Amino acid sequence: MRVVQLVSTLSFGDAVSNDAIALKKLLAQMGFTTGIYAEIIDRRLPRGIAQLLPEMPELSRGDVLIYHLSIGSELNYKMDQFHCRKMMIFHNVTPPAFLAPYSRISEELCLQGLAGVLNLNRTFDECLAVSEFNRQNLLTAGYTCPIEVRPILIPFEDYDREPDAATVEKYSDGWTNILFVGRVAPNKKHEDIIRAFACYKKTVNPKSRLILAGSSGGMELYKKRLEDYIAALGVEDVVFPGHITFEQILAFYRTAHVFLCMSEHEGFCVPLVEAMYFNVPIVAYASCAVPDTLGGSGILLQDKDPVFTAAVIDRLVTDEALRASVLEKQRRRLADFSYEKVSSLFQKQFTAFLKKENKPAAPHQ
Amino acid sequence: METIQIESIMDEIRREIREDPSYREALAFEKIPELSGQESSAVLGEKYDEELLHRSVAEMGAHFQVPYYRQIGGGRLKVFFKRVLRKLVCFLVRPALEEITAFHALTAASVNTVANHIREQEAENQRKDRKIAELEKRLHALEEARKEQVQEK
Repeated sequence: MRVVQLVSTLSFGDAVSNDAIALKKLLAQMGFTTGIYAEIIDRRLPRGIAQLLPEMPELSRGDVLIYHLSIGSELNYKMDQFHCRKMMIFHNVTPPAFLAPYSRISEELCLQGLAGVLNLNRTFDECLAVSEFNRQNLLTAGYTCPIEVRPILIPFEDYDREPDAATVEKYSDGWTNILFVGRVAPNKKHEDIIRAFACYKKTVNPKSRLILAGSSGGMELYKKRLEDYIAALGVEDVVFPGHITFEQILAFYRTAHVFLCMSEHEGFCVPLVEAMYFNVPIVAYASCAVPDTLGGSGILLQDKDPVFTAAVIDRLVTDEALRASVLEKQRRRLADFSYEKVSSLFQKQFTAFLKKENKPAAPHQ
Repeated sequence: METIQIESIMDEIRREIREDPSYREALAFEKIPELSGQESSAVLGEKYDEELLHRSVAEMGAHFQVPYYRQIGGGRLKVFFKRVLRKLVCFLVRPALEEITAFHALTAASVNTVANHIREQEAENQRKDRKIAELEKRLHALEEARKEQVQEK
């Protein structure tokens, strides 16, 4: 029996791709013949980690197809062509309205993605949602198959590598570092982070900087508008390091004092878990899957008032007792995302899925 | 560790912060204009970005086809009429889309060739840089040896 994972694009460093890669390793450890197939494979990924779609072997009834859905793709309309057991891992699709002003292509891909989510609501034998928020989205989209929640599988041992020494040295200068990690994308609301930071820097702590780590690939127009915004605010020390090496990301986490997230659409938000791992206290706007992922840890903001956000950051930086309490809760929450726990959950869910009667999914209505 | 009531601390902060509506209103992101079409094309690709190039090339390769048949959404009646409409204009639109696809395929192939050429050139430049550094080192060593020989004479 083969277990094949299918993704539209296998990118370098994004959550969906990392999840697929981690699952491939786990499935192989479970003794399955497995592989990842994609329409597009990022050249920066190690050779052989995945194959292009045309190389995918024909699947038989006993095989399992795991489809990662996060964007529009022709694959969303080809699922009926695979005559095997099918499972979907739902990572969510960015609402196209966020992207419309900046990238017609991205907007169209997300529109197609949402149409695909609806189109596939009778296709799969089972779905795994990476958060409760995603599970609710699938239920709203009319999915009737069993839907389990399984957080993204994160191999934390990778985070124990040595951080980039030059970056650590550069940002360990006594200044307060406020960090956000994630693609430069309009749904992540970098403007709200910048706005809160401007207030913090101007009214509370001039010796502070904001680091917005993440690739702006495909969202160059949004980034340009953010740069114009920074200039209009007259705020300095906002750093866009671009798409950086993994060691540099580790360095940014190691030197961060606060992780600030104002995102308005996340299916899971891996950087929150990363911040927990690196003992960086989190301040995050309560939206989409963020409260699920934080699970009562961090500090959740109910609105985006920059003055209040700046005051919360200040308190978190200066109040040792508050900081220790927030970090303690984050450590407890982090245990829920340990590799052992999530991999064992996946094994349990997948084994139960395999034991179910091997019947074809109901035809698409 | 003493128990910290985060909610009460948040309430405390809310009471403490100075009300400054001007600050809240003056900084809206919406006041920053979106870029016009002309400005947009100036931003995209204004300087060489390897990541952007290879991502764009990969996307071009995967999406150069403009399919005529697409999933039609909506109720049964809507779908029926849309299908009839699609059939009616097929003779006109389909050949045009096929020509566009053929042109896209050529463009994608050309850009892909250029991108691969850039990649090969970069690798070649790096190899030459290493060779130059090595030769400079050898040259320096030879010059030093030559100087010593001249001094001895």
